[in-house]
Amino acid sequence: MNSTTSIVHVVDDDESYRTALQRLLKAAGYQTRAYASAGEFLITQRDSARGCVVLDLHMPGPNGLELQEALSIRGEKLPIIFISGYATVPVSVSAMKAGAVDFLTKPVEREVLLGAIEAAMTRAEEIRSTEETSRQYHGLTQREREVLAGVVEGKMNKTIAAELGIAERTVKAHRANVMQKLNANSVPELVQISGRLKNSVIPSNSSGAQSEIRPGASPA
Amino acid sequence: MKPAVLQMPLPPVEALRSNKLRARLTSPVTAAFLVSVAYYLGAKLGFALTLQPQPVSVLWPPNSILLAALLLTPPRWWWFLFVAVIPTHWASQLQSDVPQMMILCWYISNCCEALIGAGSIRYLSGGKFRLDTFRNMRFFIFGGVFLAPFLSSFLDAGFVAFNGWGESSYWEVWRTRFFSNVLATLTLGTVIVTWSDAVQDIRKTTPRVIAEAALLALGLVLVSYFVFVRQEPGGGSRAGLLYLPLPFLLWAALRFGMAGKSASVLVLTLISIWGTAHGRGPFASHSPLENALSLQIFLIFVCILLLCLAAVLEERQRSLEDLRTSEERYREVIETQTDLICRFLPDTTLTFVNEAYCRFFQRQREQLIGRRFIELIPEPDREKTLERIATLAEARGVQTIEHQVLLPNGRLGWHHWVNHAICGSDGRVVELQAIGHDISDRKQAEEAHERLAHVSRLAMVGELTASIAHEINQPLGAILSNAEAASMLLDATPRNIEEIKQILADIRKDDLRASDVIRHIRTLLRKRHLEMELLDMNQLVSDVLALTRAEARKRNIAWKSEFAPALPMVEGDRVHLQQVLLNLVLNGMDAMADMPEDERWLTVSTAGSESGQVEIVVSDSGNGIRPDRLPRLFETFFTTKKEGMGLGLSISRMIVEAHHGQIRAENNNSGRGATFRVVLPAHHVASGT
Repeated sequence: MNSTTSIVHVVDDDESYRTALQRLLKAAGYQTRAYASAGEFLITQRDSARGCVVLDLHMPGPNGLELQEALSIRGEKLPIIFISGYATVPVSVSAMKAGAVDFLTKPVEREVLLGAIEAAMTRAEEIRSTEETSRQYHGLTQREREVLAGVVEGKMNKTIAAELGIAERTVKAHRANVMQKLNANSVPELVQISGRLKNSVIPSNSSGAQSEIRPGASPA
Repeated sequence: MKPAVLQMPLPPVEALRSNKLRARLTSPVTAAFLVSVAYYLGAKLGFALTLQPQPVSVLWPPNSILLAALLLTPPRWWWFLFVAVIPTHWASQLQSDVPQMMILCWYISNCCEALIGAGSIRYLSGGKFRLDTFRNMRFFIFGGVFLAPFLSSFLDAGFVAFNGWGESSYWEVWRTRFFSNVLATLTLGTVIVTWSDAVQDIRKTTPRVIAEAALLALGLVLVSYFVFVRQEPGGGSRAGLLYLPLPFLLWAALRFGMAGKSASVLVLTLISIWGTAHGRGPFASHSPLENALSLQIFLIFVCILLLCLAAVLEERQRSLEDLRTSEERYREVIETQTDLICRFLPDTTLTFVNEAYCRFFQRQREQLIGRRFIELIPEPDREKTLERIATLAEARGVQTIEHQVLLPNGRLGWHHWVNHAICGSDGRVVELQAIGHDISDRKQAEEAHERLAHVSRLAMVGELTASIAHEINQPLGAILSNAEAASMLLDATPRNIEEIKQILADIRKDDLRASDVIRHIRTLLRKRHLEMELLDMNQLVSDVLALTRAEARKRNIAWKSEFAPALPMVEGDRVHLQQVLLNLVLNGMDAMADMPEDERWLTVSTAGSESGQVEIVVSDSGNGIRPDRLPRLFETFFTTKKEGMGLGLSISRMIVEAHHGQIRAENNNSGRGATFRVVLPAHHVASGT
């Protein structure tokens, strides 16, 4: 059901649980990789753009939260599902604030787990496309960005030309360039892309987590 | 000699008896005075008892008086006594027309006799002398009665011959002197020696005894008078009458001991001599010399016979008295004990119980003796107690038993007993002796401690709830995922049976793992008594670390464990010792709460020592213990924690001490953190068999 490049990374020090989880995920059709510790996960070469992480909260050495932080510092935007033998509210809140997809407590039922993984994969896809769009946005010239902002705000070409002090024809050319660079076929699509950009670009500029990120914790 | 009784500081009890004599003659001046007076009177008596017309004394008292005086005084006084009697000797002799030279000679021979007698008796009896044992009596008869007169009589006879005084032959003089001195020592000597001892007892006599003595004296005087004075001279046909005084003498010996016997003999002697001297009685038939001789021989035999009898009797009576005294002393020791003491047969039938035992069970002695004390023990404890007693009967040693007892008020108490086996001549245990005391209070305190320990375990486990949940959820999570994977694999085609088998095996393994954790917690939570078993401390430490692993992880504490190889076993209660260790580990973790996360480490190690001990060391890197708090650390309700109750360490110490071990705390030399040490005695393999 997923592209072959999407991998579920299982990080858990309990070998028995690790194996059981891998079996389940394999049976559900996912590709899995297992790691016995946070350190092992960090030093392993992998395609960071694809997949998600099922992460045990309590492990010897660096724990789950520390791994989450380390990944964030490295700029790896892998969606994370925390699994713990027990969890206190403060710990789960801080994990969610730091961008976790879900926080589950062992033993986890299949539907809940697979739902969380599905959500994480969707998130991964979103992240991937947002990053793409962001890259495309960065390809725009200053003038093109100004034109885009005007278009998104729903202004007429004429108004934009007047505000920027340029010819209306020039505005049209910029607008066509923007549509092409951002792979947008219509103005509504352009607005949508722009909205996505706002969400991802702003947090990356201002440091710290943004409560704006509210992923589908419950895939319902 | 009564006037000589002087005040003396009280001597110790054991020395009192031998010091009695000296207590009466405390000063040599008093002694000298008394001796010289007695010597003079004795000489007068001796002259009075001379059988006329020949100047032969049947009884010559001065020598025996001097001898008795020497026996009653320390040797350093003797010279003084000899000097003291010089004037009286002269005074008495001058009255009877004896030449000066002869008086001097008599003096020398008298002193010689007393010196030989007293010296030899003292030498033989080893210093202090008392005429109260058969042994001492033998020395007295040999030294005083026989040896001294025997030797000094040669001197006497020699002196008489030397001075050419009188008409008797040498051997005649020797014989007369010998027998009269022997008789004097036997009668008068024994009277003085024994009465000096008996004077004190007289004060303690009851009117009944005095009446009996008076009756005896009266009877003896009458009979003696009848036999020796009333009888016609030379009554050969009625010689049997000689034995008439004998019953009275035996009476005296039996009822009044040495003193009574010697006094009676003296009475008999004086009356018989007086009668014979006046030509009356069975001995007044031939020449005075022969009369004197046969009278002397008669009296000497009677004397020696009765002396032996009285000495044996006295000795026997005293040993009986000693026995009774010592028995009384032991009885008193036993009866005044607050401890319960009893004797019983191997089937627990009581043969003896002391007062405290009766008091404790509120029963009469007669109600207890002959009954089996096992009936006083509640049913559940009976079999165990009987088994323990049976093992003692086999091992024939000493053992201690603690068991419950039924109290008179129907409640239950606890007793602690020390049992000794008493073996018969064939080596079998015939009886057991036991000393016990009530330990109900101690047991109650122990139970209170156990409850406290239990509460503190509950609290500790409560603290660990999250970690324990983790420990259980880990295998539960694996089981669930495995089961779900398996059900998905069953739906798939083709079915991977091998993998499903593997999954089932894993499920089984994880299930056991979870139940292990639960069992562990349950044992820890159960309320229970000490159950001693042989424990491997390395195993025990790993069990505790398994329980706290998750907690340490939660708190970001790194730990290190070092297990000594080939550690000796320790006899102890698994749960209680785990509790101690758990407490120390949790304390260590708490101590590091304020430290930066990368500076939190906990080390748990085990070590064995040469001296047969096993040490468990828990060391943290926290803030350490303030030095002023170190001494109070193990006190109840002393705590350095905000939420602490101050029970953990005091209970830990109580548990460790119940295992005959020690628990210590110290700050680390590095200046960072504290170390707790639990030292337990290792189980000796040799003593286990």
